[in-house]
Amino acid sequence: MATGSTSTNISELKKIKLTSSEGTEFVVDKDVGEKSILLKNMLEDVGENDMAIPLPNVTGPILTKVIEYCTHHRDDFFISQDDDNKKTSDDIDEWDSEFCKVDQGTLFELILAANYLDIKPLLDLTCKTVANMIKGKSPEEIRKTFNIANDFTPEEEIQVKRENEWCEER
Amino acid sequence: MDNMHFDPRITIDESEEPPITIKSVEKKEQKKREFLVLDLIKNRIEIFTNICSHLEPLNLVSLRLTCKEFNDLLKSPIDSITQQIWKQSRVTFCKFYQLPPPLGISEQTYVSMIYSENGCQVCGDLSKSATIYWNPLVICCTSCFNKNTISERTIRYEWDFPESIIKILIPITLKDLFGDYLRYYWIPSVSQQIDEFINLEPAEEKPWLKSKSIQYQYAISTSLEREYWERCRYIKRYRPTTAETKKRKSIKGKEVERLQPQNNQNQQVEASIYPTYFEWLVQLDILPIFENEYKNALKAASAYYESQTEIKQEVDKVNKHEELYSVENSCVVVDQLDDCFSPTETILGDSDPEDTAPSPRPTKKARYNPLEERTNSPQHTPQRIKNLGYSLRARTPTKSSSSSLNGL
Repeated sequence: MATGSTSTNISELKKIKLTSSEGTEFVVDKDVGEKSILLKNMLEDVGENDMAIPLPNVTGPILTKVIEYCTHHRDDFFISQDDDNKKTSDDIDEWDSEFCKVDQGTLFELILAANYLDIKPLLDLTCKTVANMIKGKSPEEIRKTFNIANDFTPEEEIQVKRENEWCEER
Repeated sequence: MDNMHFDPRITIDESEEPPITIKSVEKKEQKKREFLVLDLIKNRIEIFTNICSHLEPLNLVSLRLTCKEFNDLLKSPIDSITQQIWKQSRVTFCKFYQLPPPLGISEQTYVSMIYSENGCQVCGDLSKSATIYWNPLVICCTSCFNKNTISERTIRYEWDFPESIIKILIPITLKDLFGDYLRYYWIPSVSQQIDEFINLEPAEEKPWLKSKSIQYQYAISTSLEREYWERCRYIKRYRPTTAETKKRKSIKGKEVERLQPQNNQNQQVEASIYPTYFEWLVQLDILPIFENEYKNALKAASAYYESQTEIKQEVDKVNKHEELYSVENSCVVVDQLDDCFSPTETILGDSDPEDTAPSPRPTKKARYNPLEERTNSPQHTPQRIKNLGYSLRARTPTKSSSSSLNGL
């Protein structure tokens, strides 16, 4: 992942150009870029082309992160989407969990980017990370973590609590 | 990345907020975050679904209690996305409950029954251990079960119900010691069905019977499988009360010591008999119907296993993987029945009056019961049904005219 406008792509690996929302140009290897189903389909449709692909929904810093992820996992064989029989949130590997140790703003933007670019493994990873932030917490703790305001009226709150009494003290 | 207040520990400990110096910046940051969370939920339902797919039902409830937005998303008993979220969570985390919910209840109610504390919902005594019966949808203890059910024999031969009605009553099927199926009927629901039937116009009878028979078919087609999984869970003691869990954690070591064989001859005899007895029950696919029977078998079996050295290893294993046995993660897959009969489980569970006595838990407590209407419906006594049965036979003259003479 080189930033700036490198014009040559003579090397044996094909390169593609991406433009972030601010207009910064990123050059990545084709196989890395094709981790994104969106880009893959786009490239198939457009064919060989030197044009930079504009990604108006993704900011530069986030795109850097995404490319970092895709580069690290470039040789991974991504399992097909419908094979989700083992969905435990504990099996995040070390690099991935390090990768996700970012502040919440970045994390949510990463989720949105992964969703937009259609990179299923990254989407799953980031969603798992958010899920792990929710796990085992009381409603009050969740509010604190995500900075959510408690907008229930007292009556509503009593009602909802009552409906969910079955899991109290757990 | 450059302007972020970077805090890598945020995923581990939320109390360590990013170090922010100026107040206005803090406010801005907060606003931005809030926007993101809400945006994520409002506009990207598929992302919300993805996040929820990694969460246990109990976490979903916590999420529901945080704010209106989440509550609305997780509340509806009809909405397909909501149901899908709960289903996904149940299928992933409740290995004993892969079957769809019984007819007429939502995923939420289903989950709430699965996770309900180990207390009887009929007499309200939370200290009693109770079993879920899916067909009449009740959670009750053995004594309430006995009080509230009648056997098929009674209904069919003593009270002489017409066959057309028996056909649509959904039974609780249990296997007895010899592998025969015994059918029991939950009195309140029988009573309710008959009430409905009696109040029908003659023209409505046929469609009513038809619709009931469809419900019957569905219930029957899954009932045996449900009972099987329920039993697996029962053996695994997957539904401990909170007090039990605490006890389990605190006195695990002591308990094992106390249960060491006391060189009592009687006990040794029992110990040699019961493991085989218990295994036999399991092999025959039989749920010991009476609580005492079950407890005796387990106790003796555990004593037996303790004398073997395996128990020591087993205890170590439990200590090591304690989280495996904690409430949150207790939906452990049972690969084999052998596995699910782990002797340590039985030691730590129950049945010692010394331990149960000082429990601070009130015996009766008004708690939300999704099945309230069913269980609290007006006086359903066997006598009433019996009487209803008479009027029923008077009403359906075809088969019962002769038999009603016998009955009267």
